[in-house]
Amino acid sequence: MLLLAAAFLVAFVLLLYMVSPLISPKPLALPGAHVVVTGGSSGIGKCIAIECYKQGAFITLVARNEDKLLQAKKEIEKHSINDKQVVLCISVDVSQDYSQVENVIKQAQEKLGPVDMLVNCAGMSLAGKFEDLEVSTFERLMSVNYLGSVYPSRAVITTMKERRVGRIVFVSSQAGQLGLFGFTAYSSSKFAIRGLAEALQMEVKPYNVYVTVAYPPDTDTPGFAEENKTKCSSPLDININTETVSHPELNAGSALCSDEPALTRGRHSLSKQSGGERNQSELIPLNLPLETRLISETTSVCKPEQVAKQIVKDAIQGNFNSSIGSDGYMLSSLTCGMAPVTSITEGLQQVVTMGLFRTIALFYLGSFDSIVRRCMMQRAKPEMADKTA
Amino acid sequence: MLLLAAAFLVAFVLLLYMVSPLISPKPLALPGAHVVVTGGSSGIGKCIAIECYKQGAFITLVARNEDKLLQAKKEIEKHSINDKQVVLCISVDVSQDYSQVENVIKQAQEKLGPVDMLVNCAGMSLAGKFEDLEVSTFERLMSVNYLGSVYPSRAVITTMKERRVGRIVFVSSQAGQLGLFGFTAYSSSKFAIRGLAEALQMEVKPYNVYVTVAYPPDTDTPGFAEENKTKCSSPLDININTETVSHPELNAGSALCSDEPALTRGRHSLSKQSGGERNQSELIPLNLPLETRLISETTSVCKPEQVAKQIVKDAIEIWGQLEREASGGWALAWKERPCRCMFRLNRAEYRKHRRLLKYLQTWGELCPDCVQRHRKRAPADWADFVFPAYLKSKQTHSMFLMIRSSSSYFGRTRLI
Repeated sequence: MLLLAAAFLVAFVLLLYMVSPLISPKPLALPGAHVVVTGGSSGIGKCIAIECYKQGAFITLVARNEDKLLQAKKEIEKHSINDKQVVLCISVDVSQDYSQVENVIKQAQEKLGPVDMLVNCAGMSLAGKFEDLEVSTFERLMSVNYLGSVYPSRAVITTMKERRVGRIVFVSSQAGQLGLFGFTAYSSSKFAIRGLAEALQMEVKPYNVYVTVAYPPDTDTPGFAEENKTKCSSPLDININTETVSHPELNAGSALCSDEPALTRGRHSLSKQSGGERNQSELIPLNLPLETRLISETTSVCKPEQVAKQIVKDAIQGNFNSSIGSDGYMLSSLTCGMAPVTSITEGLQQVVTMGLFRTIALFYLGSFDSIVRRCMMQRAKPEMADKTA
Repeated sequence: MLLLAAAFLVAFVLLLYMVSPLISPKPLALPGAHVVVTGGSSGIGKCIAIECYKQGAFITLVARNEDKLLQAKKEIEKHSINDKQVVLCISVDVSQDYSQVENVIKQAQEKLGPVDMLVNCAGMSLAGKFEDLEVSTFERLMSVNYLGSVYPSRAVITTMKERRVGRIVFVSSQAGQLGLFGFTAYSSSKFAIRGLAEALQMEVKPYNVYVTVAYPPDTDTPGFAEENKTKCSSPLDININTETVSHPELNAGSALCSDEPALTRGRHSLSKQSGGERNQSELIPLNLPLETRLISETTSVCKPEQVAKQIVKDAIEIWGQLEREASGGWALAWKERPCRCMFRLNRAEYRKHRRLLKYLQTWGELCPDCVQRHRKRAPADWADFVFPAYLKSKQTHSMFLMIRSSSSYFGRTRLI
């Protein structure tokens, strides 16, 4: 009796798996497709462009820094598979003014045809304690990460809806699935991207336009290196990696602007005094003791090529959630909430695994809380010693 | 064997439930506490201020419009419970400039002492299709909803961390838990609040500062009425409610600014042409055919007082309030809560709802009289041993809170 029920269940699940591709979105054909990648001059954006180019797409790179764009174009063109492919580079700040972005998309569409896939990869990251972050950071991060995804999407959406085909990819972050110490400004902007994507998907689904949100973990890119400069720098840190400091390049894709006075101050201090004591007041806007780094160490750093491959695969398929790695899979299943699914199998997996993953997540949260508490107590000890001395 | 395992499991779960209150945060004592409510001049913010005031707190209202602030102050002061309570009103736009917000908080702290609880209720809502919303809307909504919560929180956080006590409440929305048609701009801003709250909570937890995020559904407030004006207006809609249109009040708490040209245009068009055909091009920024309204109709509209009560309770934990009453007061307060039982059921209805009644009784939703009444009908089924134990045990009370706050099913059967 029990065996019979089990057999029926297995048969039912197998049936679902077989039926699932029939109702999933029709995959996007990349050969000949026009793919626009914002923030495509470095990091994850560049790797996504390479991945699409390898499969025959026509690429438009959008970023701020023209030199980096040309460098990236040269690198991408090495991977061409036929003579017709083109890489177009346009320099603009996607977060400043919507009309500029609209013009850029128009230019790109005149040269390479209507946009089939838009990848919103422009973003930057800054870490710091809530009260130590500069007040303008909140607005700046939200502007680059969120508005810099809204404007290009808005510029292409009408055409995509008319043509009844399209893919829009938003690059959020694992920090856009859970809030972490030191990422108050960054997490909010990445959560906002998710909210935008969910609402947008509900609007455009009948038009065969699919939205994908990618949640990459810490990825080994120039932007990540810049972020790490803001994570260290405290008297408690004696193992500072000073070799990565002397690269004040302006990464159009994702970086801190090197003309920011406070940050430049911080960077120069780091290069002047390697190890030993630091002038803490100079570094206060960036001062983030161990907590964020310790918490980040629980997940491994990915390679951007890996991330790009996964994102492109999920985008072509039309999957809403794109996660990288087993950690990412667990986090995505756990935090899927009311997000849409485009395959029955994904829905079934979410239903079955959510309880277990929530239990595991509670343990992770407990460990993060204890890290934060221990760092707080460690910091309190020298103060108490000062008071009693 | 199976029974033994089941028994162990039940015992383990009960143990967890009993231990749970020991590791929960110590509730915040509202009497004499200084509560700052941004967006407190109307809607949910005002009701939260009333709720805290009724429990003895000192309130500071922060909003833009001074007249509305004074009106709200008069309304709140009717609910005072002692002579010392004060309602302070300060007019500022919390989303514009951080230094202004910092000054305001400093002023409030000089008059009423350090801030114990901050409620970030300033927000506005706009609905529209992604390509129809004005481009500036995205930035504006994010500015009011998100930055308008960041700045006050940042102004109070250092003092709260030093004093090792505090509560910060963010008012997100159900649209901040899922993305809905027409709410691309609004959902993003409410999701952002959630991200901020999660990250902030991880930072301040060791300092005994707790963050609460509220997710109210559609709530019957002036802000909601304003939002609804943006939801209708399409040639498909022939039942437009034009009476609600002519109220271009500036609700500091949550509303569209009435000096926005496009929106005013839309509003005037609505009042000029009731029913029949509309000039669609004039209404395009607000044009949202039925989808959003139809989806919104799947949830019921709440009363702001209900929402406020729940938010304040979750922020301070009602246990603390009950503790402060006299020792016998706990049972008395419980008895005086409204009864949620479905009395006056006939036999058939009773049998149909028996399971629900059992749950309600076990978790204390029924008052003693109703329990007696129901017990007479089906004495064998009631878990008699649970009931008196519930009355005496604090642990099961927190169990009850946990169930109640997580159970929306009960919420729908509530007879308030």
